[in-house]
Amino acid sequence: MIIEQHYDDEVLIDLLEEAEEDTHVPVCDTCTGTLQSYRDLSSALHDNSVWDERELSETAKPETTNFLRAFADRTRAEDAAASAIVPKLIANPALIDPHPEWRTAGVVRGLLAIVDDKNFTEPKVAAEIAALAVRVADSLEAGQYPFDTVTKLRGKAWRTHAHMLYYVGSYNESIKALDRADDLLQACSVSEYDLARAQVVRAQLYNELERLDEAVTLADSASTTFRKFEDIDREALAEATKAASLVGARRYGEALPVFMRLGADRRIADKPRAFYIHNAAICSRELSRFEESKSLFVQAVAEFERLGLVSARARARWHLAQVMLDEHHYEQSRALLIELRNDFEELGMPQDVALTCVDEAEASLMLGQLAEVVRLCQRAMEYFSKASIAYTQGALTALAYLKEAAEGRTLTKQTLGDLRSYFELLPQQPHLLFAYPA
Amino acid sequence: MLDPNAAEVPPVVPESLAESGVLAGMDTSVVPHSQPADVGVLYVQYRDLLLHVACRKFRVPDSDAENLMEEVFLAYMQTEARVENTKAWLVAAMCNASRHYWRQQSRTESLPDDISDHSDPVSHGLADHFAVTLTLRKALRYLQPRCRETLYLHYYEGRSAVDVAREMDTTSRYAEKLIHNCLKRVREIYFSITAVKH
Repeated sequence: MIIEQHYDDEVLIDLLEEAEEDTHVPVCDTCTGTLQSYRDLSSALHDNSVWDERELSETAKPETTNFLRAFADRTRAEDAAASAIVPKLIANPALIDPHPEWRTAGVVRGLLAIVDDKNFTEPKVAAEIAALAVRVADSLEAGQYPFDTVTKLRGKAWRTHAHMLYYVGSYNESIKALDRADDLLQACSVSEYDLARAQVVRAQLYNELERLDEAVTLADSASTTFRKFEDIDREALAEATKAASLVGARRYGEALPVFMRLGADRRIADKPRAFYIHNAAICSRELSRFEESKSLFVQAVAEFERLGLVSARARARWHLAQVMLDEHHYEQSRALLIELRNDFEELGMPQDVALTCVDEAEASLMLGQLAEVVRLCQRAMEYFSKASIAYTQGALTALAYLKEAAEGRTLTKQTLGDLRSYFELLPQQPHLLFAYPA
Repeated sequence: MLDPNAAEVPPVVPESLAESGVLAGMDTSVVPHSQPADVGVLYVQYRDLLLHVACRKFRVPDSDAENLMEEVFLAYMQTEARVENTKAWLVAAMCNASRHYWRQQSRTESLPDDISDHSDPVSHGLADHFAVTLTLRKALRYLQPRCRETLYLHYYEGRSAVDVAREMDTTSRYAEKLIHNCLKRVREIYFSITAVKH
């Protein structure tokens, strides 16, 4: 029976068990809505919780309310006190020793907030502050806080530390920090969400280490968790991490649509979305869609600039310079690379300095200007001599070789490729010796 | 990570605590508007739903469920991430706490027989699903016992109309009608409850 051109409830309930598709429902909003509500209810009737006979108290417990409010008040007070301490501590971390009263959860939270502020603009500084946060967190007295508050805070501090170590290229240390974060978080009763965040960091790290299958598994697991918590940004991040694994496996055609979709999804926060646009640009470049790639890089550079993400902007411009190299626009590319090398020096990102040197040398080689390569090497060697990093010696040896090859006019693209591979490996293997090609 | 030949995946912005809702006394400009400042209000608002999840879905004893809820709210207060959907976050955290509870219990005593049923469905709308089951449970209380039994047999136990008829000592045609009418009736009650809520 049809009433006012809609199905009545009898018909709709019958449709619940019909396998065949009805022709009217899909074009009728009213009937679709009613049928859906019957579906939801009949599906919920399958759930055991609906039939549980137990009656539960429906009265909120004042002691719980009081406990939670007291915790919130205490935390607020601790954070307010920490806001005066944190700047002093950042200026002089040694002050933590004569001031044991500064060892509070509020100070740890304050330090981590600063890491969050600086992670893209001053990664090296952020990494140092994250290490300080770990030090303070590890020295907290757990008994002064309820449940597993301190354990979880320590886990978060270690995770942030791991993330920053990863960001500045200290991969081995990052893995150790993640192991520590996992151990701490797994001991907490409510930590699935935080563990998923650690999984994403680890998946990103594994992508770098070419442990792609493990990275995909971790990213999938994290994505599932974020979906449960309905965290759109982090679910997107986990998906993007998986797409990055596809990139690692050179499956650019599969990764591109994922990044394009995420980059266009306005529900996602501006910062990550800018990175997704950037990643889509990388995939386009790899698929030799240079015009599309340049357009996406320009879009990403503009977004990073708008958002004040200095190091990310620099890297997007670096990619742009590489597309120009691909297109044989050597002069334009080199001009951009020179600016970038200076930026990376200021940002304290030595591996990037070394790699831009190689690209710059390639542009100069293609222009037949080997004297420029010699000058470039001299400058880079001065930088590495002053920089106090684990792989200074290796970098200096490799740059000296590059300089000699340019002076002797024996420099080739193959040589530059070998140098690039070497500089890519250095942060993971700081004591790796540079082998002179035969 | 810094090799320009590799795609980069950034951290989602808040890797630390600047955006904590309940706790962010230091910078209110970043407090998401969806999170009320008073955690006590949140507790009152979501208590029934979270207890329902812990006790009825995961079979956590009432006496322990309130403690788990405290831990869930503490975790919520301490999360530095911007919580987009408070209800979803709390429900997912309650599921996490309940599973952890049983993991801990399994070290000292045997688990309930139906522990395998205690996993949460992995999909969007988990919180909404539990909210529906909580309200539906209330709606069922208003049904006639015969109607309740009909729905129980057909939907929960998955019995056919013929089976239901046999169980209730009636004809299958009447059992079919009963299933329809009872489902219709429980839907009416369900919507009258949610209408009152709103």
